[in-house]
Amino acid sequence: MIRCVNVHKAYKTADREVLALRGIDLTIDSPGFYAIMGASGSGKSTLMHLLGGLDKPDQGEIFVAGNALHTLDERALTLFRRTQIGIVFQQFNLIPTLTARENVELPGMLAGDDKAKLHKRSGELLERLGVLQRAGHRPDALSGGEQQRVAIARSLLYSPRVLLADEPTGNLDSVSSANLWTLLKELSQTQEMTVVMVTHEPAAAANCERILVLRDGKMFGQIETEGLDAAGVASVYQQLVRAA
Amino acid sequence: MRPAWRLSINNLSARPSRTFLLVATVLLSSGLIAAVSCSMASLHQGLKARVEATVGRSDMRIDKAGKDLFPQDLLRAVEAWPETRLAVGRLRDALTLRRITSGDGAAGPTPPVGLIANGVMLDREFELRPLNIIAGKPLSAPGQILLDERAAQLLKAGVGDRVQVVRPESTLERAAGSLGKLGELIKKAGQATGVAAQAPPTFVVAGITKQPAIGIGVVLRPEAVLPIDALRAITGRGQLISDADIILKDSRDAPALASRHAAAFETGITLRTSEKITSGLNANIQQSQVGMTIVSMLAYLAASFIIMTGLTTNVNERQRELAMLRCIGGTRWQMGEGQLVMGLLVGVMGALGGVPLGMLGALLLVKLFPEQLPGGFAINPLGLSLAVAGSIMAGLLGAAWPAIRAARTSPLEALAVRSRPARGSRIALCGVVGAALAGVHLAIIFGLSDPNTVFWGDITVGLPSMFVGYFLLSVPLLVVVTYVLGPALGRLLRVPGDILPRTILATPYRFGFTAGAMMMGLALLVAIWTNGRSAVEDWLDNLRFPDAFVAGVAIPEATRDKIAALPFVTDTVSIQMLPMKTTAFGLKAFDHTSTTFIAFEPEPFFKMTTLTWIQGTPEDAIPKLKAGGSVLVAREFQATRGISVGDSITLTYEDKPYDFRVVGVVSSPGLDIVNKWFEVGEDYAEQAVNAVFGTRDDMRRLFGVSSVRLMQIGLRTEVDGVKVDDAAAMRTIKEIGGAGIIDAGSGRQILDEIRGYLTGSLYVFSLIAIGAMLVACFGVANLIVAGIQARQFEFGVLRAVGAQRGLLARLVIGEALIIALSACILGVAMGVHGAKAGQRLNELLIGIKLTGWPPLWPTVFGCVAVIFITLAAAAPAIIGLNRKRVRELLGAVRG
Repeated sequence: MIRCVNVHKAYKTADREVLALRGIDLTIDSPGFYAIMGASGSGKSTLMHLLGGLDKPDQGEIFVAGNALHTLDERALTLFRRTQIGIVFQQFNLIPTLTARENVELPGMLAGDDKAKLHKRSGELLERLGVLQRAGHRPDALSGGEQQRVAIARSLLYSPRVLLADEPTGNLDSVSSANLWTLLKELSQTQEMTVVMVTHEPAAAANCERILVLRDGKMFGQIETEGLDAAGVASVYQQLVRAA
Repeated sequence: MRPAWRLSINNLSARPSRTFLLVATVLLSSGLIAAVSCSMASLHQGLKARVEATVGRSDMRIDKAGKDLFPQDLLRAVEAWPETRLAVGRLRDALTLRRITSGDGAAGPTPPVGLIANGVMLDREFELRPLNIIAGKPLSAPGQILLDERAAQLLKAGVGDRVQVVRPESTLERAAGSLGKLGELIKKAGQATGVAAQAPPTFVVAGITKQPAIGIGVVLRPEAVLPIDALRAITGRGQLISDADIILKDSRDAPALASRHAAAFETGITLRTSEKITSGLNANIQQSQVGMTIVSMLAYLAASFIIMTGLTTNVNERQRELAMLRCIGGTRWQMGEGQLVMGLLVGVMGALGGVPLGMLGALLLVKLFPEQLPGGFAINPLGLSLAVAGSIMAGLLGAAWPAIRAARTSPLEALAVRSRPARGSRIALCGVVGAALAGVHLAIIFGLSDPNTVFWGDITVGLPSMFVGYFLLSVPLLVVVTYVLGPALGRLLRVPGDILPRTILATPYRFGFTAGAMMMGLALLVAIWTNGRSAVEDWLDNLRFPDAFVAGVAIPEATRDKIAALPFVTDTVSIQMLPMKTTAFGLKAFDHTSTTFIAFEPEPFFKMTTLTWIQGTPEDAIPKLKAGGSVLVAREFQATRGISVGDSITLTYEDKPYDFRVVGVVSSPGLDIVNKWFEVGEDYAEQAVNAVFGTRDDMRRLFGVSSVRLMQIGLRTEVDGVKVDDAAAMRTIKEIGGAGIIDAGSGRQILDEIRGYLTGSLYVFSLIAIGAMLVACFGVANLIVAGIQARQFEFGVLRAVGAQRGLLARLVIGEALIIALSACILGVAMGVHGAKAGQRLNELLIGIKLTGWPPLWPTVFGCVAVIFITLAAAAPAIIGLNRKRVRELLGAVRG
């Protein structure tokens, strides 16, 4: 499903070069719900961007859903993002001037798909995510949780095998957050999807089956979460980090 | 529907007020172009109607150079041609009429009216030229007369009324009585000429005809139609006619007949096909179409900059949205296409609204000002096509840069949406490129010398370069203005710290291009007034007219002698004029340009006229002029073509070249302008530039012209202790001068009226400049609204930490003032640049040297207008911002 081999990535800021990833090796070879955790500046978001085809590594190889991202050109990466993968952001990123349904249909609109088919598919997704009754509303009329569900529905338009979520509950209250984690877990199980979530919340990570821990741009360790609750995850994570 | 179209339509409809403002900019530009083009079409329609009314159904026309008279016998020869179906002669002469009111035939109280009388052959005229009779009936018997609308209005006469010919002698008593002591002197002079009194003829007004007037700036003389024999009896012209029209059995024979018979006529008498008569007018219309195209191009270039700034602001605001679209699979091309579609839609909407609006405006103008636009509503297909195509191109051109920006949106960078300060190096580059482009224009204008290259280079490369250059310069200039004036302005407006300058410097491009949008109207105003005032001061004020002029139709010698004998007249000079073609001016693309050959007796002319001799002397020139084949040229000939004493110059008349030797270069006495002022010559279709001066002998010998249409008159200031009033003297000449006189005017009066006309024109053109500012106002309003919307969150933070509502308003006012001040500096600079370029073009193309710099008060007025309009454009947005609550501002979507 997902494989990274010796991935390096650096960014230039105004006055220096920052090595965000320094040789990441990572393998996720079965569907499931996974978390990526790490301190601020550990390279979590950078890794997420590379896995989502939003950027290319300086060095190394990345394979996602059977695509060798490091070899794809600009246009191929765009098409990859449209149909092969789903991305959910912290800030929902819905088009404010489109309705919920239109936002869900957006990737299909960009692909020039048949309107009737898009309409049917968007209805199915909105219903599955429990927001069909809000289909005709614009984002400013939706709650945070509803907006995030619409964003997830959009990311599922082409039934991708991989779904990436970058701090998806960062702007939500605890109840909405919990509901969303449950939803993502269900998707990974019922749709046979690989869902990878970047988070700094142990409560979120506790819903995942495995946690990948990054530190200073490198893979630091992994935590199997079976039998652990949020507190347990937090404890194990702290021990791992302290032991370094 | 393609995704880019759907998203673009959605984007435009989601921001209706800003979309409206952008569309309004294009709409007003295209409306203006459509209105001006239809008004011009109306003017041209009037011109054409006039020419065609004169030509009628004629296939060919015979006339004499200088509108001179020729024997009617010629008609018999023409009638003898086997191809001729009908030949019709006409006599045009000057006549003065007065309406009779009492039953015994005595003169009524109405003043006399000088008009052009058309003596027609009753049995043939109306087959050739059907009259547009709006009241009464056509002529059917001697003793009847038709008046045109204007004549009827001036005479206060209607169908059935009687009018009386005013003979000079019959007014002698009346004129003498009203002029006091001067009148006694005149009466004595009149008796001295020994003219016998005759009973003045009277006519019954059979009908009123529609006057096919020309329109703005051209006032034709009132006209009347009467039997030719009656007119001859009044004027004593004998069996002479002014022109003859020929209807052929087959119109297609006309060109062949013209070439077969033309040479057979004596010198000065010309045989032309009707097509040739109208073709000159078509050439003039073609020239004005070029002018129209240039103006349209500039107007749409301005609109495209406004659209560019508006759509670029839109792209900047929607960075996160665009990034998200890229994240979920939108291609770069789709991002760019979206912007192009938005530009196209703005342009199309602008055209759809603007063109009908402009046509409606032209229709209203025609209804409101029927005298100035008598041609009726007319559509100019080229002008309307320009309006539509220009709107669409403005939208697409304006969307080009935003499309590139949108296509270059990196999903990662845009997702982060960090505040990034504008790079100083890029702003400096803007300045360098802008200055270079402005320099390109200057290089074309001042670096090249061939007028054709300069003109076409200016239109295709120079003007657009200047335009774009000043727009680019607007950014660094705004930065400088902000640094220099921002802190002080902030203190004045009680905006604390450096908030005002920092806010502006955070987005210098947006503010800079907004200033650029406002500069156009001011630049136009400055250029118009700089060169307009120069035209009045440098050119008109240097004309030295003689004391008075008399204009008429083939003024007979007896009349000229009578005027010369008047006690308050010192001397007179008879002037003849003929339009000719020359290659000394203008552009090759428009064939030869017209000039005027002005002929006189050299010695009396130079004695009376103050000429400045640039080259040559009167002592040297006069003998050569008298010898024949020599001319003096106006100094503009030297300025454009370097023509000097000793050179040869070729003038073309009726397609025949005539070579002359130049014996002097002089300042023009402006006689060609005086001729136009009197509007006797029907040369309204000609746009003659400058003049050459020769002798009456040459005029007679080479062109067959012997008639006189203009006289220069010297006046005494007093006679036998009686002070001579100019106005009284002119009135006297008009009333008692004699046959052939249409009008008289003092040199000072004519100069004053021309000056008034030119100054009035400046005010009219200033309205166009103000109009341009108002068009830009919509674009500016859009940009200010966009700027406020993009910063709503920041404004919310300011309010949240304690800033009062008034502070936000004062901040935006400060921004608007910086924009306006930058626009003032740019506008004046570009106006001076444009004026100087215009002066150079004037000199190259028509030899008129204009100098001068912007006059103070019009420039100040323009700057005040810019400031006022910018603040007015910002007002609605400021009021809207003031009304918003803090939470509303903080809840605004960011990026």
